[in-house]
Amino acid sequence: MTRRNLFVAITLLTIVAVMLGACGQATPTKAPAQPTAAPAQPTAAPAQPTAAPTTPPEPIKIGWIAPKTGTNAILGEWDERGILLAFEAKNAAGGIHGRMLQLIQEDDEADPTKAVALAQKLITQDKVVAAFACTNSTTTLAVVPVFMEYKIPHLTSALNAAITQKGSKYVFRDCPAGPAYEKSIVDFMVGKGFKKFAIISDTSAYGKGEAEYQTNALKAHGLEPLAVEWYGIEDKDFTGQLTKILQTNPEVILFGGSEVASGLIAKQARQLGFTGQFAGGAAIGTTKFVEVAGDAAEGTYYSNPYISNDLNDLTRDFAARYKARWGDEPESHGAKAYDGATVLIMALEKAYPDITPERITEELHKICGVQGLQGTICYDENGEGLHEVGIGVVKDGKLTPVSVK
Amino acid sequence: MTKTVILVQTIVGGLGIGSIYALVALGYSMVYRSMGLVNFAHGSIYMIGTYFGVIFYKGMVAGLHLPYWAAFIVGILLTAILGVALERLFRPLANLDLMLMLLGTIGVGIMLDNLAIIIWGAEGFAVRSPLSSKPILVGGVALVPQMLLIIGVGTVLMVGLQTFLSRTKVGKAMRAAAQDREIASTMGIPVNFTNAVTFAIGSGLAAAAGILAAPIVYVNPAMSAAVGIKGFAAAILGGLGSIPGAIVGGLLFGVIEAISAGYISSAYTKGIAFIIMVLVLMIKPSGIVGETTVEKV
Repeated sequence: MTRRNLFVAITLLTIVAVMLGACGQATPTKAPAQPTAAPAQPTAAPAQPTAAPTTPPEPIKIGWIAPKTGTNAILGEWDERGILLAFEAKNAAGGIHGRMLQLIQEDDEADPTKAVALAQKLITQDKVVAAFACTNSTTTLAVVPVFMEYKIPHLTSALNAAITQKGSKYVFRDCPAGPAYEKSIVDFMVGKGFKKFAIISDTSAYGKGEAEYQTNALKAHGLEPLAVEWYGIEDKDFTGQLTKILQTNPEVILFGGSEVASGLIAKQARQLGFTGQFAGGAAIGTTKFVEVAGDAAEGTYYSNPYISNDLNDLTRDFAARYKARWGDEPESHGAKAYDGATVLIMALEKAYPDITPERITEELHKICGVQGLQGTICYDENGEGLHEVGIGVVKDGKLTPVSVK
Repeated sequence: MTKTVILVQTIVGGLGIGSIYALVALGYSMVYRSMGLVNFAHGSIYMIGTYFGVIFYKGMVAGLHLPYWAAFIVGILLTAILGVALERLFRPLANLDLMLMLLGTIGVGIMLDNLAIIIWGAEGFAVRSPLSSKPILVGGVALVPQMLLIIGVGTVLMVGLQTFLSRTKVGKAMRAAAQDREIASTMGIPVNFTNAVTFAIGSGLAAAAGILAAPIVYVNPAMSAAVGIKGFAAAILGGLGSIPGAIVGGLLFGVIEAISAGYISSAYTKGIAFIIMVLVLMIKPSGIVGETTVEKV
């Protein structure tokens, strides 16, 4: 019996080996947080040439919680890339007065239960002084009380407005909140003369929030959505919801959900004969939405604080470095994370030599007038730093700016 | 759009996704009736099968761009081979305690999921349909070519399977082995062989479902969970272990989902579909087409 089992094991391994061999160019496992380029001791050398053992100064530990697996894995990847780009540049330039930035990464699979456990692990075991947590609204809402309890500052790139309204002074958003995105796009579409809107969104905290902000923005113009339809985040067939929406003959379908599902919906809506306009907020101005929706994405309007890689010197420099490091064109999520990492680095510099969570929080709150990729960042007492959002359109399969804030 | 057109449109959408559930449900039922094993790795086999086909279609293996139909066949064959290997792995579990069996298959499922992440990355990608994305309009109902392909090929596969089981010698041997292992053995039927064939066919059908669905869904390693659970629910709804039951259960599950999204509440689609499944089981525990289960001791 055991010999036979061995045979099976070998067969399976062979299959795996063949698969691995065949797909040589498949996505390489992500590089670990620490770059190899960073010089160990940049400024110390001349002062004490033969001084006792030169232990390199302890790295500054920063936590990171985001999905690396599952449907939302792409959010984690974008976030990670933006942060690492900023961290690696800083480390290569000598870190924070010689102390390297170390990103300790955890995968929450977009699951709030896991996110809470990981937050506790990062705080109590790894003793991080600050963190990026998280990229999804559902998970961020779950960890806010944890970081508040331990008084550790954390940056989030999630959009749900409630995140900064839970009374925590330790949470900072690295982008505008959901209502700003949805108000901008709805104002823009109404301004173009559209009056009949339908909303389709998912049942996560993010999707529910966006649909609510869209409804509120419409109400401000005296309009009611003709239909508001929902789906679960793993759903793939939207015929039922779309058929119901199409019965109301909308001019515009507003997307409230994530990039992949919204892309599939755009495709299926066109196939069901919808000829009107698509529009949406943060998730829509992404290359992933365009990839999934294919031709159906053409002409879709979206609101986004990071409207183009070719906006100014700052974005052009960022885009070039991002492309050189990761081989892809950056999009808004990477830019958000990069802005977040930039303000955190500034706060760390100011807090030095007293790198403690309290000091970092204090310095983050003082950040105002910093020019980021998404505009001028100025944190208010709730941790909101950006308030305005531009508009773009998908043209020939490319994200193209229409108006910039 | 008139009321009838809307209803027909909703049902067509449900039948498309339902065909996918049916093909996946067949794999659960076939393995269960022949080995008494509930294979919880089946959702992961579906996902791996999808990749096995799609990587050739998308030119991810040595830049090889096979036509869709060829990638479809290659994917099914590779997954069938994987199925044979898994049958060998699961064979010792078939006679064990239910709990061990469950854990064993779940473990293999997790392994396959993570293997896919290691090999192809967690991100996933969209797949272009080999057919036109322009729908064919029949009396106001929009029929998407890929959906029609799914329903058409799905039907052919299901009819083919039924014919294979009832007409061919191997098929009859498989049914005999499923009914009574010991007696089938004494009659000279190589039970281990028939089990391997069962596993190969079940896995191949899951791959077929995945590759057919790929252009309308998004391919990523996480796709195993949702379809795995719904396929299992469909198999139970129709009557676990019954071949026609799996087909009826799958189609019905898809249609119920679409109708509840279109007519009742789209926010609770999944819940409603599962509630109906539970209700059916309360009224008829053996499932809709359920044959009375043969207790194996």
